[in-house]
Amino acid sequence: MAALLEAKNITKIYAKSQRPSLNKVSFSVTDGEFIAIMGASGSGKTTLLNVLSTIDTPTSGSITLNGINLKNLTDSKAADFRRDNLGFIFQEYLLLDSLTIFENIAVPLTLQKLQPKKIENMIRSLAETFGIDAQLDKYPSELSGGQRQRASALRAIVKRPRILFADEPTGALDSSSATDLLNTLKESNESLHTTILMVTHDAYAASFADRILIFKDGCIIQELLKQNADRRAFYESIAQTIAKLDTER
Amino acid sequence: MNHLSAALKNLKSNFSFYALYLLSISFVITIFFAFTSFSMNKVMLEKISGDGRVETMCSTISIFLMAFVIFYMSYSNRFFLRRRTKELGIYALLGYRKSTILSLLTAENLLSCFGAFVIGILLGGLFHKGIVFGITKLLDLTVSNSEIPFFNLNAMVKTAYFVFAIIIILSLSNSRFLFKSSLMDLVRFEKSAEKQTKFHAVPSCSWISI
Repeated sequence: MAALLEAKNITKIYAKSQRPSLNKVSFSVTDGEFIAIMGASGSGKTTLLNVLSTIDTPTSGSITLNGINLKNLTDSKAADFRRDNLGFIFQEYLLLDSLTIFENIAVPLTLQKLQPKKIENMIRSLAETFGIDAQLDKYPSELSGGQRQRASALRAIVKRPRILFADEPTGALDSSSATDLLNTLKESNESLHTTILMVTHDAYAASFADRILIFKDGCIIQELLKQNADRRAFYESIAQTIAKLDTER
Repeated sequence: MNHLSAALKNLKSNFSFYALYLLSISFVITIFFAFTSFSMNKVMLEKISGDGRVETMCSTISIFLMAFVIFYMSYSNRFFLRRRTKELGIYALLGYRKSTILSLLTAENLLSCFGAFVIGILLGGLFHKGIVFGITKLLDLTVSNSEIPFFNLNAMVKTAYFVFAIIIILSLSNSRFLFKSSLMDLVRFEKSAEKQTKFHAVPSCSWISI
């Protein structure tokens, strides 16, 4: 299968630091994959997500996403590209406080100029599938962290992005909300074939993915594949690998 | 949901937040309108100034006043914009172009400046009457109240032009802010945004006392 995202030799050097945050990173993502990027803080995993998702630009190297070289995008073209291809989930939810959950989820669809009737149907059916229909008319401030994050996940999923970027999506959640959210992501990956790239430092969250890239000092140092293992076994092997890396450093 | 209704919704649901903004710009427009009405009030000026000195004084003050109002409005606009950096970042992430975000901000400014204009005209008219009353009492002049209109049409037009000019200035300053900041600045804003807003409180207070 052709790669949906292809990163070649991407390097990112911030002006202030001598060491590159990303050091010639190359990898590719195929359509429908669920990938987790792991690593200690400062290992470059968030920088990678920023660079891949047009939030930031790499110092050198090339990124092709859905057949488009990100380097060639102007500011407005990048905005259109995000509108049409990308979904985002961040640790701090990033919902618009002045809008209800329904309106929040509707924003990306209105941006794509869909008919209000169609938008309404899409949101209602998705909310039913993921069990948040009772919260649609509430404002973000009336919801718990877990509910907010699920709403923000649906806002990202509803437009069927080519790829969904999640940055520490469970970072601010308690363990049961985190499990709910990860199940939401897994379900959307399996039933809607959403391609997901998730940055996390949590082995449990990572165990929901099919493939794991482990980062250290701006490089990918190891790759783990779930293959046919069940989630629990995969978790064990991730935890062991991480523990081993920790003692070696 | 078009820009205007999004702007309206933003204003409505963040009412306490915008009320502060609206209040502060209504206040400066009130002062501006009261002063402009006074300086365009021929009846009064004829009474208190024979040789045109008060007129010169008025036009000098009015330049300072305009400069102050422009400074004050762009300062408070920038202050409120910084507090909303995160929100602007969300719009940008979801795929709003910067030009679209700018038109949303401009729509909001149009609405709040229009509100402040209406409030400013009402309160300013009242304030102006008060000044006239005070001066006639103080200098023991005989001015018939009916000769002085509550709303001086020329002053209203001048204030309207001025508010319009302010909206253009604010839009320019907003566009400078938006096009200068990268998506990275807007989304990963936590550290940089907070510090700068507090710091300018001192000069702004000294401006007000001036």
